[in-house]
Amino acid sequence: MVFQGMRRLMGAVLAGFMLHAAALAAAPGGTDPCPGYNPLNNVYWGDLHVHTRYSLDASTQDTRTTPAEAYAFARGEPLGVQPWRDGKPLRTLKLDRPLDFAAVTDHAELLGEVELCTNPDSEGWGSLWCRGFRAFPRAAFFLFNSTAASGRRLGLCGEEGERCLAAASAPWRDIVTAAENANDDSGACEFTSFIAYEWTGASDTLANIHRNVIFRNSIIPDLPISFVDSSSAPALYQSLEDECLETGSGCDVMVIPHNSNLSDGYMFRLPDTLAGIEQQRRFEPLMELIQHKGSSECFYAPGISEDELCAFEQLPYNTFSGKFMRWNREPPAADDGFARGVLTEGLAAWADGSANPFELGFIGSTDTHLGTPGAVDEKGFAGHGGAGAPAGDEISPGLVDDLEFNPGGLAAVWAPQNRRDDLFDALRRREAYATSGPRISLRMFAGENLDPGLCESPDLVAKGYAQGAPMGSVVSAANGMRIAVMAQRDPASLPLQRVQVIKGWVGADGTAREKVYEVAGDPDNGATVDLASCQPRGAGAGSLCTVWSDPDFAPDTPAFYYTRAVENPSCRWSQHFCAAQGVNCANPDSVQDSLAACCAPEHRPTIQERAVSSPVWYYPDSPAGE
Amino acid sequence: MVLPRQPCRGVNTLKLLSAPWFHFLLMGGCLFLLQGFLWPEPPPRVGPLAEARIETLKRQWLTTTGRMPSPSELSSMVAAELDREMLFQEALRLDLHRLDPIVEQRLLRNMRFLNLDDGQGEQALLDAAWRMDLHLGDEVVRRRLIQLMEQLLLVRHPPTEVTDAALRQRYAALADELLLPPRYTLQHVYLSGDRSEQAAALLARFREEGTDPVAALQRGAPFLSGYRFVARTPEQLGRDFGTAFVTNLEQLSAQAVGWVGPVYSTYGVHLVYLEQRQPGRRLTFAESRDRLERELVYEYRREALAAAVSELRENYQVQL
Repeated sequence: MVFQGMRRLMGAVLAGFMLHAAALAAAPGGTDPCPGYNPLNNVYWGDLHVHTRYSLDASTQDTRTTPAEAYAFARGEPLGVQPWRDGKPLRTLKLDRPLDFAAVTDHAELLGEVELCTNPDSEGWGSLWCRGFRAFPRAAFFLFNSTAASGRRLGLCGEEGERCLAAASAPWRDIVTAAENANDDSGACEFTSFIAYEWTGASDTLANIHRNVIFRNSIIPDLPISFVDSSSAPALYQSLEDECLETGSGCDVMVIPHNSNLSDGYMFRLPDTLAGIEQQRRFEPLMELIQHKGSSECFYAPGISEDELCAFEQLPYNTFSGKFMRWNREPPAADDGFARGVLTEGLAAWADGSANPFELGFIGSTDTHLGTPGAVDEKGFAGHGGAGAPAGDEISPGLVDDLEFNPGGLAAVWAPQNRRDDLFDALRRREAYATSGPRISLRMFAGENLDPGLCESPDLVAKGYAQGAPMGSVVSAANGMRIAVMAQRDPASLPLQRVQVIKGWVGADGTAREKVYEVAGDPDNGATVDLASCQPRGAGAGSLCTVWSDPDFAPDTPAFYYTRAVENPSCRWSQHFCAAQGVNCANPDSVQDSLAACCAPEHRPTIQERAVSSPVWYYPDSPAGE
Repeated sequence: MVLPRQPCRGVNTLKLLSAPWFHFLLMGGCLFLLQGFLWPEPPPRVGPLAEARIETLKRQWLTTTGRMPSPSELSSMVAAELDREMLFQEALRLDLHRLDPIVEQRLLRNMRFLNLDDGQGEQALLDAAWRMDLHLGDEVVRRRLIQLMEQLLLVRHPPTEVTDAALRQRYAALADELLLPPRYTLQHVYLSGDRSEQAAALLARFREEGTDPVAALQRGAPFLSGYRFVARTPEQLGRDFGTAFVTNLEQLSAQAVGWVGPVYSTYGVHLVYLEQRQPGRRLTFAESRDRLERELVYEYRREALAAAVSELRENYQVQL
């Protein structure tokens, strides 16, 4: 009830803004097709996980980027970041290639919404929250040196409290306004922004169950629903049902979980009821597979898992608290919430007679806390702040970030044009994929009727849609599964080494099974990277394309399939740094303490950047396109 | 009838004025005022920073810039840190740590994390946290309180409103930097690397026969990024084709619209049908307005906050 009261108040504040937003939405140019409209879909690049100064864990690192500046950065403008001197930044970052879309997702719990309780008769007046607001006049008195005995309780705040209201609601309003202003509704369709925030949930064991909440348009609830409001994922869905989907106002929303690698298995819990499963499916079509704090694709342990590419950006612990409390640290395990395990768990639920609650597509993003969406280059990575070597006049600098972290990835979306509705629809139907940073184009179609010669045809995309279904779909394939996959290298990155198909299913004994098929390119192409100079060596492919038939297809076994396009080896961000410092691990005595991480056993100097498609699902007797 | 008792009152007043205890009180009061006047209570003190804190600042500088700070940079960092400390102390004086819900949530979380929740309820848990001064050692609480103080200071010192005149002045100063790039509308036929030697002949044939670019597609190979690109800047084309393609295209684009090329890229070779080339130009004021306004709002906010912090500094004794 307290929150309802507060929301009413905030609703009044935002009402004017919402009218403005509605006017923007209806502006001319909002409905004509964009210049690059393509019914067969273009790929758009974005970052749906961005923190600015309104996230306390960013501002504690002296991040001063505002949401508007973060969007400007995404559009290609330079941005000054810490350290600061006399209010001016000493470092400036700029994207070589701007993004097509972005969402600022500051923590709802830390937005600084000092809740306002202007009416002594309101139900919330005596609550814990309202005491904060009632203190503002006192602060005002002190600051303004006005009289405390004026009898005007809201002296600082103006007659109606409007000034306090404006001050207190500034962060969320600023976030919403920035997203509205950054969204290009001029008709040129060059940039899309989404109003969004992060629901920063934690399990009882403090494991991460964080989720980003992305709104389709400018019709939004009065306030973000935080973990304080709704303290479980199902409670969040219910609140979003009540305050968004069910309002009939045009409000629409999706929820994207991230860092299930740090969830200790708590991120995806099987709902107890059919209604719960439906809610899970409705709200969560995607998960964030790759970001600054590691990859959540699949678990790797030498001798246990065969897929060595799963070692890519795997964190050495399974909860974030394990990072800081070594005595409490547990290494990751297969059931911690990695995508493959979760997808298989979903198939098992289907086999048990319910719907699959975890039909999850994939995206990547950065989770930047500098307010720098899309800053994913390994070379020149500016770090996330906080880590590094002990200082001293005589020592060399250490790494700019903790060794186990990385610059994060990008979200790629196949949509007919760069508009909110189009991107949102594409994300919802999971025609989207994750990359670890490079802009590798990746298309995938699945079905039983795909023409094996598809790769030769300039019309392969049109035929792919006509003969099969794109990534993210449920496909019918009773007579055999064919998958057409086409990958094209990022012109600003390295050539491709290979393309794989990853299949997962539940074995007859009830255990999770998976198999990785090499379908195009050559895993033994001999490409390497010189660790001293970080120069890549060896040839690779500009593009790879194949139509693959599943040799192990079993019509009575439900399965998921996704594809992975892998680049030739390259230096990890940490190796770029170590190489630039001239570190030679063959001569340990020459390595200064501050650079010891360069030669630590856990340092992985080489990576293979990649794109990972959303899966397709096959269920026995399932109709196509369901 | 009751007689007035004025004389009695006068007597009482005289009695009061001559009472020793009254003299004592009066003298005490005067001395108190005099003390406050002659020896005013010193303003609260901020600084100097502990050596360990300065080392931390140096380390942060080192890890973000890759070098040690110069003496002037260090003193600037120390001054900024002292300002933050002052804002933190000011927030504590205002009891904001007892009033802000975010701080409360953080402290509750810390207490539960430390296993100190004895089930007495949130208020009891918070009281215990405050008694333990948990709020003084938590960096998140500190930063939060500083943010709140900045917000309050900005209410007191609102930033200057951005005016049309200021925007125009800024536009005039930056006009040479506010440029709109050229835009290309084109279609292309992609030939993979192994067919590059056929490119020139095929292009000549397209020109000679006036081949329609859509029909020409059938002569090429699949290209995932698509075949038609509308009103794209060189930078935007670079995203799909790479920078080599753009450089080559720009050299050829002086030609009239129609078939141009062959244009080489990271992928192979492209035969390009140029539909339109829109030259670059300066941005108009209206087109630049949003960007300029954003920059000015940021500047004014920074100035307003700096002025407010400077004013607050007068109430503190800051020791470097």
